Amino acid sequence: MDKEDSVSSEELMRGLAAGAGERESSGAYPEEWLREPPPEDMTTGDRELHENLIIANQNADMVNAAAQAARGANPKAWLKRVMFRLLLFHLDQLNHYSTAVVRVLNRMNAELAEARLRDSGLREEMEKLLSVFGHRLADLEEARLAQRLETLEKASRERGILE
Amino acid sequence: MTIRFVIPWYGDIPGGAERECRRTAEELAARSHGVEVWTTTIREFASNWNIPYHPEGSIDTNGVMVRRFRADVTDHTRFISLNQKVLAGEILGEQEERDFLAHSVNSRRLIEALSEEPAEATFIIPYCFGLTVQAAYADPAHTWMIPCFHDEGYARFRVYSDLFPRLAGLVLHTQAEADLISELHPTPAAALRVLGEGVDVELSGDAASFIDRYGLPGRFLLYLGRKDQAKNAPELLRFFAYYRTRYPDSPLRLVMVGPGSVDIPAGVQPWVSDLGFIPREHVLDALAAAELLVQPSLHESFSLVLMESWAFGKPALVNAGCQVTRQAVEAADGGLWYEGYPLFEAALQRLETDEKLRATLGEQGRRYVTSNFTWSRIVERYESLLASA
Repeated sequence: MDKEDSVSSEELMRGLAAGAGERESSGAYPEEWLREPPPEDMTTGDRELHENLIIANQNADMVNAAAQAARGANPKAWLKRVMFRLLLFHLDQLNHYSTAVVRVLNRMNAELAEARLRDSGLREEMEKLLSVFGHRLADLEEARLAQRLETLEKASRERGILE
Repeated sequence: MTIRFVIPWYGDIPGGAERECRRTAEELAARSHGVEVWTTTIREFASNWNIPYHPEGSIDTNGVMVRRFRADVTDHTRFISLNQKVLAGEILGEQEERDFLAHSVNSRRLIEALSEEPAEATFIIPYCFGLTVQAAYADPAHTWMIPCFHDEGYARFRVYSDLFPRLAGLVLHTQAEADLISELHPTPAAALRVLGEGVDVELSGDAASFIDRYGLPGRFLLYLGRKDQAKNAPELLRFFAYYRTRYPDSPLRLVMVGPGSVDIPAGVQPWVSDLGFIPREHVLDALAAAELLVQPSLHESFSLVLMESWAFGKPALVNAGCQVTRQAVEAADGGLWYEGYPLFEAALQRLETDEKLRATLGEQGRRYVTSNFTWSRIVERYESLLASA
C-alpha cells in the first residue's frame, strides 16, 4: 500500500460526524432513535437472565443449607472424611512414593466428587452460577466455556430452571 | 533468571487471562528462559473451587514448570452474595471487600511457598481474586501484576490503591487501561508499562465454506462475542434495525456468533443470522468471509477479536464509548467508530459503499497488529522489561 493510499480514521470521522450532525439537526431521525431506552425497558432476554439469576442463587442457598444439614446429621461420615483427609495430608508429606499415591487418590476423589455432584444435578447449578457471575468477573469468551454455557442453558430449560 | 507466573488456574482452559498467561509463559520458555507457573489444584474458573482437580506438585508442561498448590476451602454462598452486590453496582464496605477476597480463590500453601522461595521476577495475573492480591503482597518489590483491568465494580476495591503503588510495576494491554488505573488508583507513571498482548497473526479461514455451511447469501457484518447487555449487543441490534429501516435496499446482513440470547427486533429478523456457538475453525472462516467486524462493547481490556479481524485484513466498526477499542482503531487507522445512531449510520453506510476504503482500513489494521502484537514482539518487550528491572 502506497503512502498516498493510506487513510486516517480520525479525519474520516470528522467528515462523517459533520454529516451525521446535520442530518440529526434537520430532523431526519425519529426522536426515540436518538435516546437511550429507559432502564426499565430491558429486553426479555435481560429480564429473564436477571430473574433466573435470583432464582438460581436462591436454589444454591437451599442446596448449601441442605448439604450443611446433611453433614450435621451424619457425624460418622463427617469423621470418615476428616480422617481420610488427615491420612492424605500425612502421606503427602512422607516420601516420593506416598506422594504419588496421594496424587492418584486425590484425582480419584476429585472425579468421584464431581460425578456425585453431576449425578445430583448440583454441578449444573453451580456451574451456571459461576458462569453467570463470571460474565463480568473475567473475559470468558472462548469456545469451551461458551459451549458449556449453551449446554447448561439447554439443560436448565429442560429442567424448568429457565423458561 | 527464573520467571514466575502466578494465576488461580492454569492449562488449556477458557478465559482471556488464562490464555494470555499460558501463551506468554510458553513463548518465554521457547526463548530459553526458565519459566514456572504457580497455580492451584482447581481445574478452571467454572469448576467447583472447593474440589481439587489436579494433583499437587510440579510437572513440566510445554517447557513450563507448572507447580500446583491445594486451594483453600472457601464459602461460595458468601462470595456469591457479595459478588451480586458488586454486579448490581453497589460499593462494598471495607469488611465486605475483605470477605469477598477471602472467599474467592485462595491458597495458603501457595502464599507460604512464595515467602519461602522468592523469585527474581514474578508476574501475577489477573487482579480480581483473593489469591492474586495476597500473592502480590508476598514480595511486592519483585512483583509485576498483569491486572487485565476493566471498568467494573471490582476495579473500585480500595485494596488496589494500597497495593498498586507498592509493586515493581503493572503490565498493561493498552494506554486506556493505564489511564483507568491512574484515575482510580494513582500509581507512579513509570510503574505502568503498556506491553500489549500477543496475537496469533498467521490465521486463515475459508470464506466460501462458511457461506455454504451456514447458507448466508450476500455480504455481512460480523459480531463475535456473548450476546448480552454487558457486551452491548441489544444496542447493536437496535441500531441495525434502524439502519435497515433507513436503507431497505442494503444487502448487508448482521451475523452474530457467540453464546447467550438477545431479542432480535421483529422487523429486522430476516436480516440477522444468530449462529450461537460455533467451533473455532468456523469462526476463522467467518472472519475471512465478513465485510467488517462490529464491536459494540463498552468494556474491553484488549479485544482480541478486534485484533484477529485485523489479522484477516478486515476493518472494524467500534463503539466510541470504549476507550480501549476506540484508541486502538485510531492508532491503527483500522476502522471507524460511532456514538449514537446518527454516527453509526454514517460510518456503516460509508463502509458498506466504499470497497476501497474497507480494503485500505483493513490493511492498515493488519499492519498495526503484525508490527505491534506478534508473540515475538511481546516477548521482546517482556525481556526488555526484565532487563531494566
